[in-house]
Amino acid sequence: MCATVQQDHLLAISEQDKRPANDLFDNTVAEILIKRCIHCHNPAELSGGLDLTSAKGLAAGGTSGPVVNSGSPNDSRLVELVEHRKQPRMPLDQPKLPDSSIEVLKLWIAGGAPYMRELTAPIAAKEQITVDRSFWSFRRLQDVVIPRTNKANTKTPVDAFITSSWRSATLLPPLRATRGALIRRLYLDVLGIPPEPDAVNAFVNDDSPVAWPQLVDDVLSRPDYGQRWGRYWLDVVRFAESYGFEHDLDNDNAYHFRDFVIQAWNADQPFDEFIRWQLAGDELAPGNTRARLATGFLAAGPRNADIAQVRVEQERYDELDDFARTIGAGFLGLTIGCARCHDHKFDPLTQREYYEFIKIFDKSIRGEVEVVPIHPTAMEKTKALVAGEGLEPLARIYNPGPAFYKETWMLNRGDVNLKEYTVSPGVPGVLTATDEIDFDHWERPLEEDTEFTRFRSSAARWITDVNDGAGPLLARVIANRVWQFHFGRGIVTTPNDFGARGEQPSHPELLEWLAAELVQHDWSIKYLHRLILNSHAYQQISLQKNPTETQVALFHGFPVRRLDADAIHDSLLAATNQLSHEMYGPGVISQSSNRRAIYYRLKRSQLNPFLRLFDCPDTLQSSGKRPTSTVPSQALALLNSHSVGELMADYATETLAVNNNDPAKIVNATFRRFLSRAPRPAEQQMAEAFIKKQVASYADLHREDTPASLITNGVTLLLQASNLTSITLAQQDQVQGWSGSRAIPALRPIDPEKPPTFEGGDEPHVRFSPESTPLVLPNNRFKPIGTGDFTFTVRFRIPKEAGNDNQVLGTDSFKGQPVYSGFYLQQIGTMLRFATRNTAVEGPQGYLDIPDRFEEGRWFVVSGKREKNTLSLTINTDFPNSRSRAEASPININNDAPLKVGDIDEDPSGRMHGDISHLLVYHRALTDLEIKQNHGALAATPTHKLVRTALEMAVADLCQTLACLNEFIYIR
Amino acid sequence: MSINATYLNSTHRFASRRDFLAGAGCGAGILALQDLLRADRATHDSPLSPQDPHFPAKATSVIWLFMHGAPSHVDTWDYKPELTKRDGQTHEGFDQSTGFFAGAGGPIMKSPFSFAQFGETGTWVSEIFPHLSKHVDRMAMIHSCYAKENNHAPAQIEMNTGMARLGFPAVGSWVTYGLGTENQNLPGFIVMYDAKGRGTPKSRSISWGSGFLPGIYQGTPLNNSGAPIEHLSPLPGRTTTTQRSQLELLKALNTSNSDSSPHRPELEARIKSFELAYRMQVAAPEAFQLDGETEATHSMYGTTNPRCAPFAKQALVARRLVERGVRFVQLFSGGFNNEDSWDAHSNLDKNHRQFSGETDQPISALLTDLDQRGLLDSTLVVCCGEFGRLPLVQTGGTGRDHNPLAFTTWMAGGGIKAAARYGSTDDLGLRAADNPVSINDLHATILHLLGMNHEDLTYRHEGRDIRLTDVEGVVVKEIIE
Repeated sequence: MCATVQQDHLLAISEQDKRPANDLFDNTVAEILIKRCIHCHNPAELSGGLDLTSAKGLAAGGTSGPVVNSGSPNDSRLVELVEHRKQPRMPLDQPKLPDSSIEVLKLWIAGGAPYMRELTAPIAAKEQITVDRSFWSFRRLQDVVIPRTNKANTKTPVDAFITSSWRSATLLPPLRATRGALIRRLYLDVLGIPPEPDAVNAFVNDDSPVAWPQLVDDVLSRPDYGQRWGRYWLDVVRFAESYGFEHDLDNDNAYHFRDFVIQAWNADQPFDEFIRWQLAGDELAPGNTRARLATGFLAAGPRNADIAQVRVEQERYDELDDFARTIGAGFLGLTIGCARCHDHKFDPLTQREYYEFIKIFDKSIRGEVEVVPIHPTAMEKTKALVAGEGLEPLARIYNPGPAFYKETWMLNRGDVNLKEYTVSPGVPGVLTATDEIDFDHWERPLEEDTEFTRFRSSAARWITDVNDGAGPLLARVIANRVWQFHFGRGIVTTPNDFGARGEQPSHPELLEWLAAELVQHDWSIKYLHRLILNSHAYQQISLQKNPTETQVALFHGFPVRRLDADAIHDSLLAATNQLSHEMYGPGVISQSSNRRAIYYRLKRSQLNPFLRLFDCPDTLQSSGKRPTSTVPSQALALLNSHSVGELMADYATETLAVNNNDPAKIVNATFRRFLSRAPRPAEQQMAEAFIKKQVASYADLHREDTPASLITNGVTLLLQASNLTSITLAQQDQVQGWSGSRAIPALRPIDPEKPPTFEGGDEPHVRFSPESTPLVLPNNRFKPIGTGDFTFTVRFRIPKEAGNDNQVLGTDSFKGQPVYSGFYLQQIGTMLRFATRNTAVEGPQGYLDIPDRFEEGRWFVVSGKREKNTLSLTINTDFPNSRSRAEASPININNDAPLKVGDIDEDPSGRMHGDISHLLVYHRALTDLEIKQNHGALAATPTHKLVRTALEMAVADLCQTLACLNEFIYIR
Repeated sequence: MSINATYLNSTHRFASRRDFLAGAGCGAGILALQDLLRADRATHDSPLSPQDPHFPAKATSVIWLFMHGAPSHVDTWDYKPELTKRDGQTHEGFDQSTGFFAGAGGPIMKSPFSFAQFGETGTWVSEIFPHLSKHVDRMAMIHSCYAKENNHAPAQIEMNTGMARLGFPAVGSWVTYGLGTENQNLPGFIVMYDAKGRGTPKSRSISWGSGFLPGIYQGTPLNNSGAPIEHLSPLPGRTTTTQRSQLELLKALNTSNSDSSPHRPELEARIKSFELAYRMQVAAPEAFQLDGETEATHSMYGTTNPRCAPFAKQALVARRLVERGVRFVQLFSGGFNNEDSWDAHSNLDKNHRQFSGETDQPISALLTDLDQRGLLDSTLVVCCGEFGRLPLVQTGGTGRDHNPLAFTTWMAGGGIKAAARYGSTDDLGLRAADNPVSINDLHATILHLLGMNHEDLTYRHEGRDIRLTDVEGVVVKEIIE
């Protein structure tokens, strides 16, 4: 796995072909064998059963037979393998031998492959373990002397460390930032949203020396804190709510772990306990719900649910590898996964230690338990995804196999077909205080007597044990993360790698001191925050000039950095006063929501595109820091995405009302909301001029606009609920006021006693409920669609409390028929299905599915059409450009059955529970443009606020421009 | 837009390039190296700015045709007369765990298709490629490819990222990371998957994900209908005029006060990104419009032939994209479900006729069209599936199960040695026999054709300089001109 590129310069080929084979061996072959082969092919390792250190070994060959065919180099297995003509390619996992070396080996074999002397494997340069234990990150916590300084702005020990590093670089301490800048910095950093203008005013006008520490205490106590800092932790533990790979199966019950994390950070749960619970909360605190939910950590990684029989065991090792890798990188900054196939190339971790470590988890699997969720208002039990022993395993689609194996084997090259020996649980020796301490040092009896192994609780004690275990490293790694998220740069800039290949700390004593302080203060992360936030280093100004490398490395001047994806999302909502403060609960499926970004459901194959655009991680591996990229598509999303546009427009409407349509007041208020400061006079002027200019442009445009109207050409059925007064049957079984025109027939309830209800108000609609019966249009009133083209457009809404399966409309051919032949529109969860089916015909049915678009509780405009036997479906939500279209080729369907609305058959189970405001059916295929016009007309209803005044649009443009400013999107 | 003068001096440029990827930990990677090597490059506006390769190369862009579901090599490009001779015989010693369905390997099955020889090379090609068979003399074929995985999603991930595990960057991500892209108005790595609405590949977006590379290097999948790329048109009611005023105000406010706009290259870059975005709105949609293409072009690709129209349109868009300087374009033939892709478990005859019918004419037209426009020399065309299929019948039908041990990949265009044939399978086509070529080798070769040394294209992640080819990969020099 590791990329060590070695260049062989073994040979200077000159006249070598003339040398006798004996000389060849002495001069070059021996060297090639020593350097490239006998490390594995020696009497002790005997890889492939082959010993290449002696004549006897060479003659004996390996498990697959002789390796040299004396005199015939090209037929010799050794040559085939080093030339990569056959598998396994040698040297294994190493660069190919240079052609010159291969040539020498061939000459040597051609000359009879004489083996002149026994070779010895070079002694591996294994460093002594005591040396490794003294490596800066692996050693016990050290006592650190706080540097003595007498500078006035060396207020805190943090500053003593930082300013003394400046002194040696002859850097003068920068000034303290203004109060206005500080409160904005603090809010964006700690809460991920800008401060409210009132909070800014209060702080800016507070001269008290304790105003800042009080402000720090205040922000740390807000619930936003856990939603901001919990998100960082979710990156570290690669949290997501689906399993990746082909099926990317959802786990609807994974969100409890996210809630546990938010709650734990807000409550300042001691970090060591927080870690222990994630590894073994079930064993350490039986009966404690939060401790149980914490084990969702192990369960949150990817998992392949569709694998061949031969892959089942390998898959289990992959799963354990995900555990080990995430714990290693996330908790310990240790690339432990590198030791899966061979000893770690750089850090003192052997391959055996890797397998001993995964052994700890080998009986722990993912499963679900019933719990009362963390959500404070939740009362009822619900299922939660956790990990542990003795759980019912999760299903797998193909080849379930055993969920775990009783033994863990040391695998040669990580290959389950190359088992060497079984291992006992253990932890890396370098992270124990002495060689004498064994894994059972951390074993304690469980409170409850069970058959479980207690390995995880032992590991949990080890990893947080500052005296004998990995505690010092754990403390250093988290102290560095906290520092990194405050400053945008860690003291160690490789937060997930504290090993030999990671970067050295820029301020080793500071990191050591922070880690020790953390441990001494009961692992309180909020204590650590206060140490950092109350320092001058945190409160210094950010420099105007581009800082030098040295300044960057020494934290000279507060680093300017872009907000991360989640904070951009949340700040847009907060600045426009649209942020929902709802916490916890199942993830939001919609791709734009007014809740904080942490609540989007994390489906690995469909991560939120806005967040991905701004560099949120892919959730497949632990992510210690997010990169910051700058590309035009980010600008396009801010300028042209409807969700951003809607936010700005909503805010514009609000602020116009509050400020009596006064542009001067609006500019002032908007600057305060978006940038936490008043506009400067020049800015005020520019912004007011801008509003004026935009108003003029929009006023012109509006004059040219003609409101879109519904297409009536060829319409055969038209329901406009706004034309209705009630659903009552008048003459001839017709619903009063049903149709838009005399020529168009009306639907009627199947059971006249139980009609759907009419609801007026701002959004007139017909409500279909479990108590009502569907509407039907008998063929004697409605020309059947038959085999021809047709189109329907329907505007409907499914309430949140409705079931997951709603048949909206279709042809009902079930009645008295053995087969179904017709079309229907159906909502199944977040999917919409337009189907044309003929159960009498074999072969694929005309299913046209648009997944993951539908949302309960919102109006959707949907059009389906059949045109020359091609189906298309257009979804147009109240964001007109979230238009989704799919096409499918159905078989020939005859739609002769009666048209039905609210159901398509007699079975009440799929009956629609929801509202329809408009329904149009045409006996022809509308063009795409016509469909667009229908959707435009139906979107432009009062609730969608698409009809805005020129002033509203101008103010929305101003807000949007401020949201695009560097000042808005960068912490400084 | 002028760029701050200090930012243009060479020492700052080093820092600025890194700052565009701030925190990405690539200081030791190729970006820094290239910055040092290319002191003459005028600006580094974006991490996607064009970069010089390690050494001069003919190919500057790639069109990768991914036959999703895995075509059978022995029924397409790897002619095995032995199958006809031994049709119906049991293959003694066959390891029943080779395919996906353990124990479902039946007797040897001859190809349902006839084969004939084409071109001056006399290459045997299956009857299901009546158009593509005319191009055999310009193709290089590797008959000895093999994969490590025997199921679709992991094997597709292996083919596209070099690793069968999650979290690694796609080839297109590596290529755009290494070379940037010529046209800043279009994404550098564009993906088109099944246009018939049959869904994504089984590996889903992981096949074009950027893994641990920054998200900007991930592939952009085009929407199959409506606007091909999101956010390209202004909000309702907005016009380029109203947007222009917004950008003017933005620029004025961004630069009005030094107190709120410190001098930072990444801030300058961000200001510039809005100008680029504004231009993209105009330039990008044009690339996807097929109206301007001649009738002859349309009919050559088959955009009006109902059988192949969806793929034909995508192939034509692919040509337009490389013409406009898009670095890496990947097309997937076939959708998510087995029977909606080349995954011919039950009826190979019907399945492969359907999917060759969907792709044969468009791919053939693409090669001809690229050639006629002088683009083929600079465009590397790669065509493969994620693995091959067994030479045996899968019990219970007339199809074949998966076979990771052997499959054929063909390439043509940029830097490829026309008519080269490399490696071979055994008599039955069960296993790569001579000169086996791993997926790492394929990747090494593709990078080489683009002028990159696969051992030097690295990215520092978790303490390691990681490569597309991990610790392996040998360039198949034999197929390179």
